[in-house]
Amino acid sequence: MSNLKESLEKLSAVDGFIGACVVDANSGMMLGAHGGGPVNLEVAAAGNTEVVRSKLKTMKALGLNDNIEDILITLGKQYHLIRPLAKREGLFVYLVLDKAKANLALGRHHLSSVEGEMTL
Amino acid sequence: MAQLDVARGRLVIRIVYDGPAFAGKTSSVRSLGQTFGREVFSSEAPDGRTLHFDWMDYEGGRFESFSLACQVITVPGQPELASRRRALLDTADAVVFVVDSRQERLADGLQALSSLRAVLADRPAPRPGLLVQANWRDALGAVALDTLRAEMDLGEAVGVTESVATDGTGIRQTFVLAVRLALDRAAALIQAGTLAEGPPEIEGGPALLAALERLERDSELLHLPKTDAPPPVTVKLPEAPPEPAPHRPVLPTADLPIGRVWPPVAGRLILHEADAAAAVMQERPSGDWAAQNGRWFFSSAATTSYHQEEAARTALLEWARWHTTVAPHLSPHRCLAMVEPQPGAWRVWQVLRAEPSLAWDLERSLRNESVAAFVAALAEAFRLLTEWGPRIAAAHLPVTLDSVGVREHRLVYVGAVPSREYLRRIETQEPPVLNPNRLLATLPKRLQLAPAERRALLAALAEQPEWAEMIAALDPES
Repeated sequence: MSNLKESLEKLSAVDGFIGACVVDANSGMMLGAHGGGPVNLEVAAAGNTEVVRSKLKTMKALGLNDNIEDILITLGKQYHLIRPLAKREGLFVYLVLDKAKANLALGRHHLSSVEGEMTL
Repeated sequence: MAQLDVARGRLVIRIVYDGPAFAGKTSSVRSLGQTFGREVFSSEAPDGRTLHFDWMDYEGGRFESFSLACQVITVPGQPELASRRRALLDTADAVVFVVDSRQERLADGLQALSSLRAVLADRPAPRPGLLVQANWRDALGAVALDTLRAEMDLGEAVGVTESVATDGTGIRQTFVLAVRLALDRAAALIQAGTLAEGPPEIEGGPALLAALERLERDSELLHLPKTDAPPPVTVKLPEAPPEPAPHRPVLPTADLPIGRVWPPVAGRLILHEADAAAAVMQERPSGDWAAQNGRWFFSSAATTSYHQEEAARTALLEWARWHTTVAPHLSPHRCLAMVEPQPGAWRVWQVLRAEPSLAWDLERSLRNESVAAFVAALAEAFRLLTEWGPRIAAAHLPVTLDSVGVREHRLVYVGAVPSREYLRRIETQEPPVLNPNRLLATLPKRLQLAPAERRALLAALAEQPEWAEMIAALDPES
């Protein structure tokens, strides 16, 4: 098991890693972050909170009795991966990868295992 | 406190850090400030203890499509500042209670927590959420969280986080959880339809400091219902540094920087004349300070000391404006000055040249002239008091035989101008009705007349019925 800081540091081993953070979906505030480079993770965290909320609302409206495993946003140069924590409702991991360097499947897998080991 | 500032698309919330002295409240907020790259405004004593509060604000996060503006403040943990703590806690949307988790400090924490709970219980629903931040987790003797929960009677309903404020561990996480609690309260207010709208009244540490000082000045803090008031936080300070020696004020001199003397030019000349270096300074039992050098008097009320230059300047300007308003009734040769003898210890002084008072003139007449001359002086004093006394009283200047004197055939106020606090208190009241006879009747007692003088004066006054009160004062048996 890893604490928040260690977990985020582990994510930096993913190919094409730019930055990652753990976000409180209720407030859009970051609990912790690592990396980021050109991406302002504070702003990204707040903004993507709306994405998660909207998706949850839509699923509820559709009557889908399911959970979000992850949300992928593909930009021209980056992948943005959002993964709600299964064990801690209301929190999600936000991972930013360089599209040119990253392997999306490996990145998702890595994110899944780090999320599983994360303790808060 | 939670307020929806629709115009700027934000929800303003306030997180208050409470806890016993030296638990790490200020360190926590400063660490948070570093994390967010925000400055922390602090009002603290030279020994580092918080006098008013620490303030940090941060805008980030989202709530229902509004951005979040978080006001983060600490309260002073010192028991003597309990009223300030209470005033700040009353504005909280969520409270982070910082406790030193070392075994020997838990008792302090427990006591402070019970006081906090009493304050929160007084708040109307929805009450602010409470989160306990167990600090000093890296210290030897830090107890296990279960022990802390048990000893502080936290139960399962209160969230507990761990932190080391000095290196920032756990600080951000605690803050985010506190924001969650504050948002829960805001959501409840929205549901009840009672969430305030509009821009917040206070944005920034200086504004809060001014509001707090205004509140204290108006004595509202002193008038909190006693039955509802929580017991003050009584905290032992085992390792507290020694109290700093109370600093002695410094008198204003002619070389004060520009902007600290009023009126600017004449005031500086007065300070030059008054020559503070030769004055002898004394503290009065009231805490006021006074000094004298020949005919020059320096006076500074206990209430005219400030921690911030801005507050001192505001006081100086307000007082100067008031001086200008009542100038026609004041003796000349007066000035105001603000002095900072040491960093963060401002004091406003008034300096005035002593002028003969009515009492002094009358006494001199009796001692140096005849009884007949004294009776004539009394009659003139009566006339002046009747004509000018009410005008001076109407300017809210206290009229006594010592506070007024004759200048150019009229009465003027020769005393030290009362403090701003006094003036504020009485300016809305009707001025007292002046009774010149009663004022003059206080003379015989203070003159300590010899029996022969008393008899001669009685004989002279007996022929004039308007001196009935004076006669009664001279001869109680009459």
